[in-house]
Amino acid sequence: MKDGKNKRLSKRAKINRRFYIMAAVTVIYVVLALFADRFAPYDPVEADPAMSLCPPSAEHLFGTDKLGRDVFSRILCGAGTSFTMSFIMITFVSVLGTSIGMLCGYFGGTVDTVIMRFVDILLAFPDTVFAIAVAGMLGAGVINAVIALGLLSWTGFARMARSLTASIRERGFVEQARFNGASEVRILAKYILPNVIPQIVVMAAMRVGGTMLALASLSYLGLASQPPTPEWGVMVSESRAYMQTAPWMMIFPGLALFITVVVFNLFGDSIRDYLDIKK
Amino acid sequence: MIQLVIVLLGVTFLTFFVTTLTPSDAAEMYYYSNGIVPSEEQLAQTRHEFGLDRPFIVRYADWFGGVLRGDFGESLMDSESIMTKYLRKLPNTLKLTGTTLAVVVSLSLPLGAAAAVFSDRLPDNVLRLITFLGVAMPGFWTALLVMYFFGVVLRVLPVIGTGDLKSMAMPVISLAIPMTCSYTRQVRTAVLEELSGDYVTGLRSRGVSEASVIFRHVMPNAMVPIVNMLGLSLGGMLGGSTIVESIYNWKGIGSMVVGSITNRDYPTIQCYVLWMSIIYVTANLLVDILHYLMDPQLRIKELSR
Repeated sequence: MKDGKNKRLSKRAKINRRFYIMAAVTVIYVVLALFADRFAPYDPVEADPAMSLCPPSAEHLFGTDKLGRDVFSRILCGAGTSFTMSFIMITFVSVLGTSIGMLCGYFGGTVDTVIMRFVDILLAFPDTVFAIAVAGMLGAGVINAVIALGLLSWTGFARMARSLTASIRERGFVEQARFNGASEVRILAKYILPNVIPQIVVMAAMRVGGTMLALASLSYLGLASQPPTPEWGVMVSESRAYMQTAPWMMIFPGLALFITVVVFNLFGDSIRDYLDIKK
Repeated sequence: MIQLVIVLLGVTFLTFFVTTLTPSDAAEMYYYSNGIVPSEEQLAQTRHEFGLDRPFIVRYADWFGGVLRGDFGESLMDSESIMTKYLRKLPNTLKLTGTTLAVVVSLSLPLGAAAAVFSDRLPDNVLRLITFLGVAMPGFWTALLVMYFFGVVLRVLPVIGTGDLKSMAMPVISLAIPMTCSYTRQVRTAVLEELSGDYVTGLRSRGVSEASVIFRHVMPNAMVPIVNMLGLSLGGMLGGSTIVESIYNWKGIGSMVVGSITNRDYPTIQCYVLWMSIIYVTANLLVDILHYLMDPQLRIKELSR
């Protein structure tokens, strides 16, 4: 008996430790991304033709591109744009999706059925295909790309918030609150919302990496950020012509994006374990 | 079938709807892409030609009516019929995605099963690490790395595709890497779930050999969820194929639509959504049928109704 308890405790301790480590890594990452222009050794957009296509060296850690811009500085500054855009979108979309989902789950009825049917259609649809098409319809640009991605991604939040709300509203404490004369708004805000939020936070955290990836893919195709903005997708796209002579132009921005996605995915996983939420 | 119609209606409606949100339209782009600054009259004239001056709902109904009659409209850029354009490109996209699918299934089935059988031991841990990293890799970057590795470092494959088997290798590898990784994990989960079943304990206690347990009993049962998951993974592959096609200049639907986006060729983009939904929904339909054929319980339920 005692042994089993100890084992469980140590598992819990492990999860906690992993969460604190991942949270620290993520915070460092975000600070680095947001204040990148202070850390960057060079101006990310200033061209220096004399330094065109230099391989990585002590002076230019990740080399330079065709226009002689420092790849390392451009990668650092690119993190800020990607992260800010993804963060704003996820925040907006999760609030919107959760509100719709909670209202549907709480009140039910025909509106709920219709909206959720619509949500199911969008949920199943290949998101990259949709984002490419919508970004194409709206025209190239970061804002348009964010809208294109947002149009689909609220559905996941709505689905989850709806099913949580529908099950929570049947629970005893909600009934109790209703007997005590609490208004619908009060029940939703004070009794249901706090029980919905943890899962939504986990979902949002797990989406940040994926959204940054999707934005970069759209930028690569020329649909989101445009040159000369230092953005990873744009940088990889610019690097293609110099693949044979300057592979560092392609390798490092992609690596930065890859590491970012890994960090946010691990962070999402660790919050889920920390809050003890099943998939 | 009903689901197919609903998906097509819902998705095309939404993409059509966003065109009304954008400030600049195809008429403007038509002039600017030819280097002309149009006057207001010219713009109005072209909008009328393109049918952009009519209300949104009318345009959508008109377009959808056309689709039902098999008329997908004309490209705004070269006035070619979109139907002919797509029919020319579609086989290439199907060839690419079909081959990738075959590669993905034949790799991830044994890998996922192995990971489940050796769960939490060395093979599983190695596979878990590889698949975790593979899923996080940006598709376009993977494609360029593959191109760099085989085309520049090893010089064994042509960088620009010509459509033959050899030039198909790199696009297929690029597409297969992320999908194999995510699918291997799903296969692992499905097989693990099956392995924890009571009947497995029963078989083992009766002294049935482990190989027989896995190949004769567990795998056939695990196939049902595995096939279902395949349907869900298809969507990701279609999106990935668009990016990979445009990287390798593969003459399919994806690279064509990326090209037409710069020109705001609405009818072509609209048709892309439609085609991709058709491929997606049809593939899912096939998966459902397969699922039905494989699961005797479903058939019995259907009969007893």
